[in-house]
Amino acid sequence: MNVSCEDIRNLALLCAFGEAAREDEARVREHEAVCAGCAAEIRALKEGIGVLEHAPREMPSRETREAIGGMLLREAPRRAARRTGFRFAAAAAVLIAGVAGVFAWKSWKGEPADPGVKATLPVARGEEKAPEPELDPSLAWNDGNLDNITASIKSLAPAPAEPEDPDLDWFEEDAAREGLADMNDRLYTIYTEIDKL
Amino acid sequence: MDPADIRACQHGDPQALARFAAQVQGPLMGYLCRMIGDRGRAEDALQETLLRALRALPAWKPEGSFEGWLFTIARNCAFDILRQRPMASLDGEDRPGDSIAGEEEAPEDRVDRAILTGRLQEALAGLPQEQREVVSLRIYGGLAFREIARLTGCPINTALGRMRYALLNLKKALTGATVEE
Repeated sequence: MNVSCEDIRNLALLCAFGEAAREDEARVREHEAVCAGCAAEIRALKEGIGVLEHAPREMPSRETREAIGGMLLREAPRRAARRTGFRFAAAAAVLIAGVAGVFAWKSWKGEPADPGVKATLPVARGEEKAPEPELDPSLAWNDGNLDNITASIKSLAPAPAEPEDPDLDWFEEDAAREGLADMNDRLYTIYTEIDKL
Repeated sequence: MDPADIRACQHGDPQALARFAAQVQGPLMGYLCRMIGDRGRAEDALQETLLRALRALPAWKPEGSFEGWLFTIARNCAFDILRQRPMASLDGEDRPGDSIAGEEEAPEDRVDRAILTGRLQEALAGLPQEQREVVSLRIYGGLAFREIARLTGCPINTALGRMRYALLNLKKALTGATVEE
């Protein structure tokens, strides 16, 4: 194969940086032996490569290194938390949608939305029905309005130990422990149990 | 970078991320200094490069080389900064390499090295941008010429030609001869 001087000089560069095949190295040597122009340029290229060993090495200043360290601190936890945060956010969304769905279901069935529904949830786990809680005046939100329902769930969440909230506790704990697995099935079970009532 | 380290970085392992930053900041800084010509702006570009890399890291797939991917981000940051203000010359009182020169060297060797490094830095700054970029990607990024060609969007023979002319121009600049385009 006839190879031009330009190709040989490019190949010589690849050889000098260890990126050429052995047969290419042999081809360069053969050409170098018969072409004075290429031989001279290849020598110059090798000298130039030798000079590059003295190229200035760089490091960022201490301030920049510290800023990079701070950036890592900010970014790493955020990245690690992103998945967990997404799962909890999704679990919360399912929870809110589920509770809202319960009331929507009841409304659709023509029954008045009833805070007592909360007390029926343990039935889904096969447990004995909890005693009927007293009607809390603060539960007057039960008007089918999604905003009111959401706000009320938020207000109920910080007081999980109160006896009138066992179902919310159960659901949140399960969502946190098991993620979202089977949540749809559980909601379906709950809906079924409610429907039986 | 070690593939296991890259995977750990993708999962947000803080130690792996710290190793990643420690490994890449020197080469990236060298490339950005040569491309931008201003140490302060190169440091800004370095931070931006690492920030973009950290945020894009989870989506990285081992289809090309990791270094090629990283230097593509650095190149975009460099061009973003150069678009705002064209290349300046490095501040002479803050010679890069001063803090890196080996302490085991004899004083006269260190002086020679500093002089050569300083002259080489000027010679590099005098190269056309395309040539300077190929040289910088090769010596700081350690990228193969095929990767450099892909990254800069040119055929490999063009990348090789730029490197050849850069080397010849550097040699001429350092021996006092006229620099050719």
